[in-house]
Amino acid sequence: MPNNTDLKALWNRQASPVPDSKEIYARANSYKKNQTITLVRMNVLLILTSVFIIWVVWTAKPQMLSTKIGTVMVIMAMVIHLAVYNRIIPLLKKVNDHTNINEYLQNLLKLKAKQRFLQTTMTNLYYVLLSSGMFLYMMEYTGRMKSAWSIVTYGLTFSWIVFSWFYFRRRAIKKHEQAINELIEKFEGLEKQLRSEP
Amino acid sequence: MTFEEIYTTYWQRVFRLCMGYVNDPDWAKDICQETFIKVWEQLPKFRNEASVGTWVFRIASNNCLGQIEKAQRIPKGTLLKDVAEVPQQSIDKELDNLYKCISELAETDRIIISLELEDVKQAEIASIVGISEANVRVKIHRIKEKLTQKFNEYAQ
Repeated sequence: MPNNTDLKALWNRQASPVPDSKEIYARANSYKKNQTITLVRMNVLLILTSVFIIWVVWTAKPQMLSTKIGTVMVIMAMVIHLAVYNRIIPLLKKVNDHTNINEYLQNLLKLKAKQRFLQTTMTNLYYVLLSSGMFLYMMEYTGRMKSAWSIVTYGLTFSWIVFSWFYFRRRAIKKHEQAINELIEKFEGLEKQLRSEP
Repeated sequence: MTFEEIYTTYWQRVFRLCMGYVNDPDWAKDICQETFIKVWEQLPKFRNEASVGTWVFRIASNNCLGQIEKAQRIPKGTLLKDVAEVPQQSIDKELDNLYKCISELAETDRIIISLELEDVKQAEIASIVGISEANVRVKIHRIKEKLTQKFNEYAQ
């Protein structure tokens, strides 16, 4: 039966050649490069989206206030979506890992709960802004149509919004929640391991 | 201590800790690299509130536990099955058995026993894990019992 010394001696037999520290620098630099690329891509996307919408409003010259409000709401929906998924949620994933394991797990749990709340709220907000924005935007143009066509247009748009609200939105929230809930459950399990009486 | 000094002093020890946690050399090397990237990035901010060793082991341990998020994409049980099926490169069967036994323990127990086998003082383990020293002492005793029993079963 191995005693304490045997296990330690055995443990120390595990040797792995120490890789060149240059590997660490190269990997760290590649991380930084990827982060910069993501940041640039995100900002370019935001600028392009804004320029495009301003161009649409500028060229279409809407007369009604509802069209302008609708446009702003659609832009907001897109900006919020991009900002939340590309900036805020990755920030929530950065947890201080210099603390002890106990604190680390508690911080992780708090962050995951925040992430779950943010994702659900933001997905709802995104759909509300996009749907209401589209409705307001359409008012001016459908007003110029014959009533039968405007009913068809509104009917189709409304059906699409209802479908995406009850299908895409629900599916998106369920997917996010399932992944986060699983993680929360696992982290809670780890926390329990520490709290349990030895 | 400079980064190079920390790196040469702690690489093997951190690697063994990660191996104790995942029992997969490539994965362990990956976690070990991630740990040293963090050490390298955070070293200028390190204020000597804890010893360098405690600080490095804290980052490594948290990094190991954080693997759960990555492992979420790997179906449950696949990793251990793969490890068992792939012919082991190591010819040291006893050593393989030890790591296999450790990998079957609860996650936090794996970290505690790896730190103990790494000869980290119990007061330091308590500071890394965030539980009392008395609790660490009792836990280590229980984990060793369990580990020895498993090890003997594999050896037969």
